[in-house]
Amino acid sequence: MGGTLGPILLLGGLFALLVIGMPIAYALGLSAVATALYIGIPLEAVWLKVSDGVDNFALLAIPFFVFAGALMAEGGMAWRLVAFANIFVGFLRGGLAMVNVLASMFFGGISGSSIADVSSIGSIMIPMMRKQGYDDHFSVNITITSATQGIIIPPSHNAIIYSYAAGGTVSIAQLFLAGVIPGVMVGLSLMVLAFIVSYRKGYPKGRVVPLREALKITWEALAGLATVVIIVGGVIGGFFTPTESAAVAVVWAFLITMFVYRDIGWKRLPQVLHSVIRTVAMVMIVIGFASAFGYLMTLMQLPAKATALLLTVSENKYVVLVMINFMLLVLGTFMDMAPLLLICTPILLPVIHALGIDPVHFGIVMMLNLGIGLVTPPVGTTLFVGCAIGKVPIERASRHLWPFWIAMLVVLMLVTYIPALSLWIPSLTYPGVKF
Amino acid sequence: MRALYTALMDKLYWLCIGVCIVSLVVMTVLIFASVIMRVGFAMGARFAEPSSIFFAVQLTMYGAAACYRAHVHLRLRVFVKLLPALAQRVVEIGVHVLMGIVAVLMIVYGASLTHTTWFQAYPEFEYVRVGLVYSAIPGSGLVTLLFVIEAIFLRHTEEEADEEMQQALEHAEQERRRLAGGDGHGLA
Repeated sequence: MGGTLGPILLLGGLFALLVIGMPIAYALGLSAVATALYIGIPLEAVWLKVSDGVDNFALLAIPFFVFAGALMAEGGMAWRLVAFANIFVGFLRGGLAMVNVLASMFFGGISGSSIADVSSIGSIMIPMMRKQGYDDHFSVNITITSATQGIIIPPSHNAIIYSYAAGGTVSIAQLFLAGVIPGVMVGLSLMVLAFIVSYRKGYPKGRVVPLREALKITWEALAGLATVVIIVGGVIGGFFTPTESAAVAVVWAFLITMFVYRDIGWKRLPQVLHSVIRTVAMVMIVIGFASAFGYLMTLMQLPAKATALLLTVSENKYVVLVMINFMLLVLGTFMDMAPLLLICTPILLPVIHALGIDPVHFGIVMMLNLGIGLVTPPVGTTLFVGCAIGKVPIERASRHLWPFWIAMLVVLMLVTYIPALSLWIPSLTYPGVKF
Repeated sequence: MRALYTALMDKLYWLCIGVCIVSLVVMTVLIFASVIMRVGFAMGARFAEPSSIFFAVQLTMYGAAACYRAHVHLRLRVFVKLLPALAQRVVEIGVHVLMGIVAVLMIVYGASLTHTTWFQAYPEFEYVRVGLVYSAIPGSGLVTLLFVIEAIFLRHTEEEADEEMQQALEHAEQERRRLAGGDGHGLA
């Protein structure tokens, strides 16, 4: 269906609209509408698909994760996690840099968003690091790269988007579990890098936190960290669906921030909600329009054609994975994560199935890969936010990013070619998972 | 006239945000209540899922219209920024016109979809029309179209976007000061 011109209209139209700066969601919608007109599909069907795209109970977890993360970020969770991380690594050479990474690991588990992570942890850590003599570009770069952990460490709303883009065939619980080791690996690689750089540049050590103080800090941080237990434990334990666990997490986060921590007043709550709405609507509308776009792609059998094309280049899964990784790395430097997950997953998943690669493993590879794109110019959203908070020019931060890229690319290669790193933990809970 | 229209659009923007906030809060309460009913009282809550989906569609559609006015939609600006200032302005107006076309299509075909499904009822709520869910499409299309008219004829969108970014940065700076001024547990 659609002949040759249909796919050109759909993909070429999307490309042209993106280049002129049309919002990605509406670019997806307009190219889908133009293609539907060309191949003679009633336009009501396109709008039905847009609505059906968000008319999905599993997807409701996304607004709730964003909401819970924002409440925690604004409600004083970030600095409590920084203090908590300081207990474990603050006394080492370059301790603050490592505290930054570890706090991002904890916070990523709660917010599931690298932007939220950079905004919250970065606004505390970057000025603090600079005050202690760390270079401004190093402070920004360690913050933004460590924030990529939030994309894969559970709970990650990107995992839900990937599962949805895969037609609901990939378990969200398995994706959550699969993200643990790769996320921790990113953190460890950045900590090793931070230690080496700190040793060479003579960045300072912190102090050892006395036991009594450490216990107090841990007690305060536990209430926030319980959010992760509610979400991940609830889903893995089968008590809740991901959506239900996210809603429970919102209520928990609300009670903790408003009545226990009390760092956020009632007057600030509308501001938090305003910011949550803008984030949620921006992601959900992309999902809606991507659903219509995906419908047209399926009608024209584009995923099957893409599979055939990729397999003509090579049938070796390692070679294909190199090609896919390279393609995603390039695309990730230009576009944000959610639209790329929604556009690329339906195209690439048949290839992955044809080569016998586990879709859970591939999901982690894809998220990690696109996460690297978020800190890479020209369109690195996390990089931009980090530079804005640290008041460092993007060019200056980018010039010093290469050691961080190398560290993350090494982790990406390991995660890509050693499926056990992703699949070992899910296989402990789900006997059907093999690697 | 210009000031009046902009003031009206401000009110419309906040109305959209209000609808979205109410939707988000109601969804949270409904799903939380359904969990409590199931876990605490072993009772199913059939209303939670379809009601939440209804509110999710409202949140998405009206929230997207509000995001358009606030210039916060995900988009690529890297290529447009390579152009001279005048060309950038022309391309930007072109994008607003295309947004207007999408908005008109949303109104026309969304209304048709709403009309077609108006007499279908939900199994869980026999008095609630399926078309009510889809009515958010023409509704948000109309709101987007009003915002498009404002963007093309009344506002310097790039400048406003930059101003909003500046305000956001100032807010982040205030936030940083607020947090850094708190108990840092001996970190600083």
